[in-house]
Amino acid sequence: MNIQNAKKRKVVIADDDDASRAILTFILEEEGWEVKEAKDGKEAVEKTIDEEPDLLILDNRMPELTGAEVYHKLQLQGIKLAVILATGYGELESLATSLGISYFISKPFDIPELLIMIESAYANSLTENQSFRSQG
Amino acid sequence: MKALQTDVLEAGRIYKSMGAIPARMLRSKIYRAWERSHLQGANPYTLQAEKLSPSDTEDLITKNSDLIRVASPYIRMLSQAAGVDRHAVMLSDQQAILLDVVGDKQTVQETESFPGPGSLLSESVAGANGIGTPLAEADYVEIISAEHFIEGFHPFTCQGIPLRNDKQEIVGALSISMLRPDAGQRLKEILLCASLGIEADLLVANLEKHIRRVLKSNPNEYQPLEDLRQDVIQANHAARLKLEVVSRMVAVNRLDYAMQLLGQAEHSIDIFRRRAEIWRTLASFEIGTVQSVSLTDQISNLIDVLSTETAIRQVTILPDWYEPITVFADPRSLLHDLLRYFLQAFDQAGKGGKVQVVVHKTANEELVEVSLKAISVVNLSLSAPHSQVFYLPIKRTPR
Repeated sequence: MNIQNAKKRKVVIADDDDASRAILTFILEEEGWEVKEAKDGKEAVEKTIDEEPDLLILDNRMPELTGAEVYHKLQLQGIKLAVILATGYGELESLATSLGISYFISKPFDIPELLIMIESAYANSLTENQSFRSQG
Repeated sequence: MKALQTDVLEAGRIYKSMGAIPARMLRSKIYRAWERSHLQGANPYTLQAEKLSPSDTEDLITKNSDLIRVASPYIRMLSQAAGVDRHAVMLSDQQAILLDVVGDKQTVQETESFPGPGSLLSESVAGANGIGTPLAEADYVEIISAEHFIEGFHPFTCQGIPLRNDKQEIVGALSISMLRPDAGQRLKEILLCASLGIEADLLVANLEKHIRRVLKSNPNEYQPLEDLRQDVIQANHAARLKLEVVSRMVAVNRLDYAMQLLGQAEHSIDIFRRRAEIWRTLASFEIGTVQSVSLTDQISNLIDVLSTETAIRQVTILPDWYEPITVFADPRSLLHDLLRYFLQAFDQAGKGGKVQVVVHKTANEELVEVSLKAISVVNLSLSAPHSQVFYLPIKRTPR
């Protein structure tokens, strides 16, 4: 296969902290992902609709819309894709479970832990045929 | 200044032949370490291997599981930074007993009698070394080749630093040993930053205990404090991500960018520690004592901690005072009250609004007036801004 023609997997990183977003972008690009950044919840929704990513990494506490609200909006629009919720929230698991998000990671997280989760979420979304599709 | 390796070798020869430690041939920290090693009976020719039994080691690891868990990402990052060079990163408890060792296979697994979890590396058995000496000195120490008291360690350059909890008590040590004498500068800064990161993560674990206590005792205060805690943790999270990239850069010798990023990581940890301290005061509901407090500093610190909250709410805070002002108050109650007033003012100001904080002394100079004026962008012409005003004494109030 021609590597240059191979479609890169695409991820949207939504985090209001500029430094964290930039560094995650750097790391995921090194891992071969095409990365799109969103600095708040509203942008996260827009980028997810426009870019049709394979994966969305969502910070929970963001301006405009929280990560939970972003997820809810995407669900309402029938958009299904692999989502990882990242937050320092103490009751993270119950928050994620109540939203129906299977993948969540507690801040501060370790990069290898995130990379394993990304691969798992991505593989699972393929298995369940949950890669991005809009019912528009 | 580093001692010449020829001087150090000569110092070792003199010590072994005459039993005297020539102070002028050794750096002061190394001289003190040799002196302690000698007085405690370390043997310069051989490591007096002392190791806990497997069951005692297991107990020790269970006892220190929090420290091991918190240090684990940093140990991995340090090992990553060492790259393809032969190395070992070690974590010990406060008694210099190893809890974890990570390194390249050749050094850690294939070197016969390389210390592992349960091994004692105090100066009394291992002489001057990267674990026992930083613990004894309570400070960062680098030990280059022959500066090690025991010959068996001479191929290594070791650097170690004690780790402290939030009460500044030493809880362990972190070290990196490499088989090259020039490893020091490359890894010193990242080791120091990793130790700060571990200490910050210990503090994060502590904040979690605090918020659980708040949930039990003051459930009404839980949500705003939990939101703020997440914001405080963000600075620590950013630091850890930066350190991850630093370790990758150092491994491939992109040192300039790595050092720049390392400085930013340390700055993020500083921000985290300062904000964590304020948050802990906010999460403590004990009554404190009335004392002299810099009111303007307290307000500035709180505005800093609230920076994400204000970004989320899209509210701008406008501080308005001409000089630093000190009052007599219980700092905890003062911070609680200020937080409550700020949150009320944010609600009143609404999205896009402003909160003006005016602090000034009253005419008789006995009181300080603090007012938080919420200026909403909605119906600006119809409603007067909401203000909350309170007064604090400048001097101690007689009982």
